[in-house]
Amino acid sequence: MKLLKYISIISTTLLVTSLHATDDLDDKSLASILNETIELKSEIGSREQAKNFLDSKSPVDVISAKQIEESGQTKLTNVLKYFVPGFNTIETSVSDGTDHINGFTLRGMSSDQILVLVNGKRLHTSALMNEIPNISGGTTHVDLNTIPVVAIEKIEILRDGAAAQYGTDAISGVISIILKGKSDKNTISLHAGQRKEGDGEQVQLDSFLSVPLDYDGFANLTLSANLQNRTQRAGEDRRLDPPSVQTWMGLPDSKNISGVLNTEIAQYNDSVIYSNAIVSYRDSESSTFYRVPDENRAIYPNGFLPIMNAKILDYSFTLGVKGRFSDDTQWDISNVYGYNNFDYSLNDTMNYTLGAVSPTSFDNGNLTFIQNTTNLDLKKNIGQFNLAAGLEYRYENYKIEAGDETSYAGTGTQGFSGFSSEDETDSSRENYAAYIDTVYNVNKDLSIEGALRFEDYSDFGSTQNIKISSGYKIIEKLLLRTTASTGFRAPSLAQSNFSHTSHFVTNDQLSLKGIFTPDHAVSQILGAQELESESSVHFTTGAVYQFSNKTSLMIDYFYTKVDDRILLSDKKSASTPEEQAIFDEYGVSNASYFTNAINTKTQGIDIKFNSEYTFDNGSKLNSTIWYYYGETEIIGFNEDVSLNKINDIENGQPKSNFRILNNYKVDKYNITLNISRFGSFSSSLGSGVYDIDPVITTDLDINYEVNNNLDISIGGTNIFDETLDKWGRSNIFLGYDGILTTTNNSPIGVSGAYYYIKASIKF
Amino acid sequence: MKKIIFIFIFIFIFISIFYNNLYAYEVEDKLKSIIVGKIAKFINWENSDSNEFIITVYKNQLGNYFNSIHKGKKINDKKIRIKYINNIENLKFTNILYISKATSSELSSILNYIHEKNILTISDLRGFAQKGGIIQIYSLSQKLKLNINLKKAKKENIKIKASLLRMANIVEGGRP
Repeated sequence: MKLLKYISIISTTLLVTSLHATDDLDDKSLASILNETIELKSEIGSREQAKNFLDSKSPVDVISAKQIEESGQTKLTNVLKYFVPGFNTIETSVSDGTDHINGFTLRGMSSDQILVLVNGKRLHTSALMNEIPNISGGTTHVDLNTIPVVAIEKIEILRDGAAAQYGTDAISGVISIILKGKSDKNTISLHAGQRKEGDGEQVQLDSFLSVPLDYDGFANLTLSANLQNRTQRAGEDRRLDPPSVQTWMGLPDSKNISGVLNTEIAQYNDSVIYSNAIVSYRDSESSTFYRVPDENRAIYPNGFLPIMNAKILDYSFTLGVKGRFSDDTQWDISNVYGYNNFDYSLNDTMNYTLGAVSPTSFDNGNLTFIQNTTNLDLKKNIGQFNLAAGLEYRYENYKIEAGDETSYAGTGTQGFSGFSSEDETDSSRENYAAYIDTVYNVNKDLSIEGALRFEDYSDFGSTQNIKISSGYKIIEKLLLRTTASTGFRAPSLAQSNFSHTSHFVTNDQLSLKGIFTPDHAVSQILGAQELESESSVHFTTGAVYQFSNKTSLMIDYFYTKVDDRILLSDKKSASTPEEQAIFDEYGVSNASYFTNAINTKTQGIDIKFNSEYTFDNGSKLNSTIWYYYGETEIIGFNEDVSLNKINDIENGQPKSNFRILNNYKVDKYNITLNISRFGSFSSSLGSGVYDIDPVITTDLDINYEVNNNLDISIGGTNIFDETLDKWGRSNIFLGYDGILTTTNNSPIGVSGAYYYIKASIKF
Repeated sequence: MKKIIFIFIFIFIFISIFYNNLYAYEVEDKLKSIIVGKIAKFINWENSDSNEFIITVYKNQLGNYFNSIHKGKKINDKKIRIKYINNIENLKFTNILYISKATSSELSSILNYIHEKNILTISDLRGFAQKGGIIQIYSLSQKLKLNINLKKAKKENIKIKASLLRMANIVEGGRP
């Protein structure tokens, strides 16, 4: 009955608004028309030409360069969190490598279930395997923050499964980053800020230089340097007398430089040679837990704080040629080479086994991931049909190189044991893919698209996936859209080959613990099997109502079922004589491994309202109100999973998110206000599950245009310094009165309010 | 959840009833069609015998915008007439030729075909002005902009007012 009421209200309103049509463009001068803002177009989710994102058959959102600039955000993960409810990112502490590469999720799913594209080409993932049980635990995912935000023209977010179109990983969605192309402005900007607490100073220098080339070609160079001092939000260490703060909790100390060279060299004959190079280097330091004083220790008898130093080198090179045959078929051949190396070292620490002769600095090994992708894409328009087809070949290599022997000998480095020679791997695989995609525009109001993709992997075999989508405009302003598809996610090379084991003293004896590869004898005796791909089924349905081209309401329901989700198993001990025999043979006391553990169902709704209103004085208010709700439920188990893990998957992230984004332009001022509500969630710890209440944050940016060439801004994020609930338990390490006082899964971080100033010169 | 739905319905109705004059992010194709007409007012047209102002659209990709926007309008005191062609050999007298779609070789043939016929060529094709067209419409940062090949305009005896040149970038080029 209530639903009927809502429908009748909406129907009446649609009828009223459909009668309103004002069109005074023809009375405007050419100069005014050239100053009009045109529609935002997107290409993601369809093989058609770019079209207004509001007309997309799949739920798509677009974030423009202007919006990014007005947000004041300096990191891509934070830009996405700022604009997209349902996108979650974390900043962890005392979490090994994860402290240096921000994990992220979309719609509460896993970090590696999001495909990231740059200029339409697949971006490689990081080599880092997140060994810690947080929202990106057990995954290798893209390091989004290798891409300087100043290089980005727009970000398209497809909130739909799309593995049938783009291949593996596109389960919870696709983030498509379009780099700035032809530009008439060069910029240099300086951003400086610090936390309310007085720490976490950040300085970022960005420059963007564009050189126009013939036939609308360009060569754009972006350089970005960021210096971030750490924040400290840890509690006192009550093992000390008197208690004092030692362990670091908050943002790490990091230095990051990155550069992007993006070029298009166009020829008279319509062919375009395009290339881009993205290079990033990060040097980042975080701490592990403090080691308390011990007078019997030869080194550091007064205690010590092991510092993890991560050096991360990441680059990708893309080279391609595209053009048109004489029959108007569009062709595109490209190759993308991606590389990520995560190099671990630990300082200010020791190896207990080595005693007085222990070094205090260690090389703990490094992880490398290489991905090379070659594509051929063809597109042709025949009458009402848009046809697309393509081939893809991809080569991947994952490598673990051991650290110094001193880093893993005996008990290994305190804080983080080095990768041992037994952990080393040099694993490769190939895959071939072929796809076809057809859009049938039945008439101007109805469009249907079908996509079919075949993939063959050298390690786990082949898979075929299909997607069908439709968009139907009942009236000019109302689009109904539906998609249904199957998908998959190939186990990452890291999940199939990662191993990190270290020795611990158990009952006065050294025993091995850690993560073993699924094909290791220890994993096999525990029931591990060769990893298979995750398979998924997706359904979305929704509507877009455009009051005008600047005012729209989107409502979309989504459903995703994933079978055989890959998780890092719980730590398992031997429970049978057979298992014990193998454990004894390898000197193991407990082990975990990657496994196709569970089946999940995720469903929810996005409601998004956009509008821009121009007041009589010429000032403009642009508002977005966006509500997201999504919940994940485990609907099947292939093996036992701990209650903690179940809770973290089902309740470990906010199920609801609400944003009110406002941008007001008046005279030379441009004011952006973002209010975000992150819903409640819970985090598990030991045998308990702790609820975290909702939190509301406010972000503000005030920009003043001094003249045509100079802008200055002041602003802040989480300006009222909201903090998350502390753990609901007392504990020395993880407790409200302990060292880490709240969960690492905080959607707002732990560092509190941040205030900044920014100056931009445009020329 | 119910509260949220109520909030959205409230906003929906409020906006619908009271804000029906909301400005719009304009459809790119529509603006291009309008711009073609606006540009015509910045050209010193030579007198012709025709009592119509003719805009010919080659391989139209802009939907019905040309017709709907220019229907019943006048340029240079002449009633606008829109013609659509898919083959350049079907081109009769025209004031403006809008080239909506063409390969480079096709474009080259078109420009050769209309050479010295005093026709203003406009297009949104990539590199159009540098390839020998006169006015190119292109998009940049969600705005439409103009490139004008002034040398080519002079060659074709198209007289462009200075006020239009001030709104555009001047480029050079022709067939290599």
